Amino acid sequence: MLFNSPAFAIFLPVMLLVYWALRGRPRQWALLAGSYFFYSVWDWRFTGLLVLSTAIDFVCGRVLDGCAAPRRRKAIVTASVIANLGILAGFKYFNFFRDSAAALLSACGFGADLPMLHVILPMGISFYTFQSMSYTIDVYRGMPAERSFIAFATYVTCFPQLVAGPIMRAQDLLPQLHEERTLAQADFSTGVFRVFRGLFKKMVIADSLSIYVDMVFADPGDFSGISCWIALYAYAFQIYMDFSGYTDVAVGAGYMLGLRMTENFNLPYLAASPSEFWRRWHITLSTWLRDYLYIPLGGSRSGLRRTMRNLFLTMALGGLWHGAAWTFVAWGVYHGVLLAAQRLVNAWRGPSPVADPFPLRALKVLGMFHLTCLGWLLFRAQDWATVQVMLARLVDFSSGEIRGKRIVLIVVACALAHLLPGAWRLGERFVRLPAFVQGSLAGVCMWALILLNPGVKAFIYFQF
Amino acid sequence: MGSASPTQPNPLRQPAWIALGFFIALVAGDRLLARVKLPRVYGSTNECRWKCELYESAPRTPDVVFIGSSYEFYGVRPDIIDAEAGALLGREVFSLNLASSAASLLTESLTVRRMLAAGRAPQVAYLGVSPRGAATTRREWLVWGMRGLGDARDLPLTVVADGDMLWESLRMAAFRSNFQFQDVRLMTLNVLVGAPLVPVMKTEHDNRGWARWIGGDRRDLPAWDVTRGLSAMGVDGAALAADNINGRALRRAVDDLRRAGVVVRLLEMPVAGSAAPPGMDSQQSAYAAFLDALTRETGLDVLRPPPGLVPDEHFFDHLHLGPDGAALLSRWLAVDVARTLGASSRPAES
Repeated sequence: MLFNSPAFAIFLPVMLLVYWALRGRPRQWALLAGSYFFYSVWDWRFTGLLVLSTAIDFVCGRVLDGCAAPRRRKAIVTASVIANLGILAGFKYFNFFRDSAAALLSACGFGADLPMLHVILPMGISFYTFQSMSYTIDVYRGMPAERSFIAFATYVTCFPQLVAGPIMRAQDLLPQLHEERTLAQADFSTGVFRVFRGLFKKMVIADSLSIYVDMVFADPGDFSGISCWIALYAYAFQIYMDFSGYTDVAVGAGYMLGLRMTENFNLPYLAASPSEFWRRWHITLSTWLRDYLYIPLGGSRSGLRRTMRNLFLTMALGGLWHGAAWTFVAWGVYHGVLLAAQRLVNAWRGPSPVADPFPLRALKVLGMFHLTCLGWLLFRAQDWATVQVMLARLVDFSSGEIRGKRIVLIVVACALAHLLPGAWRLGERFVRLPAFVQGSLAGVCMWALILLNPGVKAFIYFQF
Repeated sequence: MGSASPTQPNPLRQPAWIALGFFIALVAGDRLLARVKLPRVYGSTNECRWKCELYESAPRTPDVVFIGSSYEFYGVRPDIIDAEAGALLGREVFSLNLASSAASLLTESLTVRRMLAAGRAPQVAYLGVSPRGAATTRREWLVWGMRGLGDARDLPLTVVADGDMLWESLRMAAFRSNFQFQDVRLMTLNVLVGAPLVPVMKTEHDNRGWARWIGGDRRDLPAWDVTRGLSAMGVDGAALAADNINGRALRRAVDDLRRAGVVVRLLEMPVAGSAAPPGMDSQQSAYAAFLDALTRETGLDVLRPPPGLVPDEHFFDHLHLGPDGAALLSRWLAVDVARTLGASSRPAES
């Protein structure tokens, strides 16, 4: 079920009514059932996969909890990781590796008719397998295992974050599921604000930008260099508004359910360096990669060369996590290079005790934004040919009509919104308004969604 | 539901007030938007109705009618058909182009129904089919379907409510979606209550909204803008192949015409070589599947002009023929008209 679909507009109020009408265990059951229903609206057949993933890690967690032998514990956690990654590999990466192997064999002069899997990618598989797997690793590292299968299943499938995150940690969500939650007025209002803000970001801004972006990326050769730059900027804000919009709805729905979801974004385009960008963009994934991949690989503990290798590997795998295509891997490697370069510069220059003056920081932010945009080119392009044509266009300012001028207005508005003073605290102001006014503003926002949305379109991160 | 203690406010009060404010804002928005009048830029109000009146007021029953969308509207010239087919047959031929400049297969079926309701049936009817009309997505067929309903507003119709229809009809209120808000509200009401819809709608087409959005005029757009316009608006090309509202409408039109003894020909109009494929591959294959099913079921074949019959420069926007292109095509079409009329033994009613 999409957050921006009419089905969700019916599902959420009904879910909230049922959820708050119940107490204790029945409420837990209702949330679990609702979450499975939410997922099954997309394709009920894949709920079996959810159950499997949940069961594997619940059992592994319980076995780990009662096991003290280090080798056996290691074997269990390895089994969990292999099972989870196996599911992910089977559904998401099999055909990618198959195609890559076939291309490689063909290039070497060996024709091979390799088998192909005819399966569709289960929605949200990358998110829930990572979330489920992290639980087992946490238990391996000493966190107590969850005793209730219902609570654990709710943790894995909780509908606001099921298909596109935030990737919740067990220690953050599971305790909340055990608490007897009460409907707090401020939380409910915050939830309303976040849901509508998220829908506005997605349905009005991101979808409007996508019209132009899709056209340019479909055939960049038809556009002038400046038009391509506009498309690149537009995509930077499209993907941000799309994904952060999704997160807003997820966090908002969480608030309405009395649950606190982890924040995923913190004005990423205000980052002045690659590492700061990853502290602001898709925070739950970057911290996941840091805690479960980068640090186990050795992190920055074993010298500069090892650190660089770990950064490359982590980011390349992070890129691959996003999608089964070499362009995603290249995007990950690109960010690995940026992070490694920053590491090198820092090692050479040494830590700076004082903060950058404003003009220097502004320049750095601008530079980092453009580096990020170039990365988005790899992320968005459907193939290498598009990347090449776009790159050629981006450095060609010789001629051609400038199109998408109106898109520039949206892009500028997005950039200005990024610079909106934090002191405005729109969410807090909204919560302080009388409830009736809050509802009226939500109604006005609803009309904006209806009138300004160019078409129902899936969230970008649903494909991952 | 959590009970309220004497010192604590009822936790439901807040959501209830929010819900009340929300619905009042929705209703107020509804009332406000109902007053919005949009300018008519392209197409025509009740064009289908106007065409039907043309048919009904014709001095005699036409031998041939062309029913279709903008492809046929721009591409078929009755004056040339009449002259060329008449010369070939050695008798007078009277044809009418009833195609609408903004229409769908649903509109075609409505035109057919109204035409037959007039009690005068032509000998031959050419029904236009096109990938863009037949294998469209839900959003597209709703847009076009709504146009059809608006165009044939005097016909009592029953609209089958679809799961997404309510949402789509709400979204039709978008200024770029070509409809006045009262139409949308009526549609929504009908979908909500499931009542038979007696269209009293008034369409105000604004097909250039899309072109305006990205800047420039429709004719200035490159091929892919025109052909992928709706796809680029967020419409996935994945189509409803053999069973969509347009497909069903076309089948109905074929059945109605045949029942009235009219010879039916399916006509697929050419597009310029410079035009991009319609939407995406999936849309093309859905269209092929749709046509395949239709021709298998009805025994009809699809009349297609030979490739290269009309040079690209005769298309004014990669899809639609200009006057010279229409003349070229009509001369070619006249041969088929003459052959079909010659084979058809039923004399034209006077």
